[in-house]
Amino acid sequence: MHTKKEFIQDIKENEGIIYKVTRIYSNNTEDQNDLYQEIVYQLWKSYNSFKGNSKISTWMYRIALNTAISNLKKEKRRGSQVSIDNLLLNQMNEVDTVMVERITLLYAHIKELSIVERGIILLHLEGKNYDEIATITGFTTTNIGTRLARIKQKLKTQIKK
Amino acid sequence: MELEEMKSLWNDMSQKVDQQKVLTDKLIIDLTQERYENKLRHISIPETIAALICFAVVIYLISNFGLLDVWYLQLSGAITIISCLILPILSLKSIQQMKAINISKNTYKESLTKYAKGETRFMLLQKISFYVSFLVLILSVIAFSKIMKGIDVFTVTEKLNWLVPSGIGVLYIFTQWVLKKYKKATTSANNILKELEL
Repeated sequence: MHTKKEFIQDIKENEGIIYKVTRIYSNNTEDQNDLYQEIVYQLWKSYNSFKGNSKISTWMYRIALNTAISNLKKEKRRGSQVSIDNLLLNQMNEVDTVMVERITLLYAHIKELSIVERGIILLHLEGKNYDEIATITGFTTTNIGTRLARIKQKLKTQIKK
Repeated sequence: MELEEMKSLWNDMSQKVDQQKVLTDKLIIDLTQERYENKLRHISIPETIAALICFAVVIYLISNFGLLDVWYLQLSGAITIISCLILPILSLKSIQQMKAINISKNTYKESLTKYAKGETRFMLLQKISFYVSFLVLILSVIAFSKIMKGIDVFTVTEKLNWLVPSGIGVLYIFTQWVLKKYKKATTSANNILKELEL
C-alpha cells in the first residue's frame, strides 16, 4: 500500500513527463491544463496498482499516454479547475525567447504527426530504447523500429518544407 | 531544424523542465481532489436531468393514455413512451463505452484501438439517437396536442400545410450536419485503426 506522501514525491520527481505528454496532445492551454489535471488524477487513482516491477517513470508514461488517448473523445464539458495556467507557463520561464520559439516549432512538428506516432516519437525523444518503447506501447520491438524509421522520414520531409 | 538538433533541443528542454519543480504538495492534492469532485458532478447532473425528463414524460403519457382515442394517436403515444425509456439507457451505455479504456492496465496500442472502435460505435449511436429523437419529437407533439389541448393534428389540415414542409426542411438541414460530423469522426477513427495494423 503506497502512501500519499510517496505519491507526492513520485509526482514531483517526474512532473516533466506529465508536462511533455500534455503538450503534445493538447491544442491550447485550457486543454493542456485539463489533461494535466486528469493525468495527475488518474495517476493517483492507479497508484496502488503500481507494484514496482518497472521503473516509476515507465508506469507514468503508460498512464499519461493512456489518459491522453482516453481524453481525446471526451466532450469539452469542464467543471471548475485548479488554476494551473501559470504553472504550465512557468515551466519555460527561465528559458530564453529563442529557445521558446524553437521549442514551439519542435512541438508543432510533432503535432503534425498522427495520434499513434506522437506517443512513439515522445518516448524516442525521451531517450527510451526500442524495447522500452515496445513495453510501454504494446507494439513489437521490430514494429517500433519500422514505425520510427517512418516517423523520422515524415519529420524530415516536414522540416524541409 | 534537423532531426539530431530536434533531439538535442528536446534534451535541453527536458533538463529545464526537470529543474523547475513547480508542483507543491498542496497543489498535487488539490489536483486529485478537485478532479474527483468534478467527475461526480459531470456524471450525475446532465444524465440525471435527461433521465428524469424522459421518465416524467413516460408517467404523464401513461396516466393520460386513455385520452388518445384513435389508433394513430395511440401509436404515437406508445412509440414516445418506448423511446423515452430506451434513449436514457442507450445514453448511459454509450457513456460506459467511453470509459472502457483501462488506464492502468492497457498499453498505448490497446488504448488507441479501444478509442478508435469506441469512437466509431459512439458516433453510430449518436446518428441513430438523432433520428430517433427527431421522430420522438414529432410523435410527442402529436400525442401532447391531443392530451393537453384536445387537438388531433392530423385533422387540422391548414396547420399541416406549413408544418410538414418546415419539418422536412429542418430535418434536411440537421441531417446534413449530422452526416458531416459522423463522416469526419468515423474517418479519423478508421484511419487510426488502419495505422495500427501497419
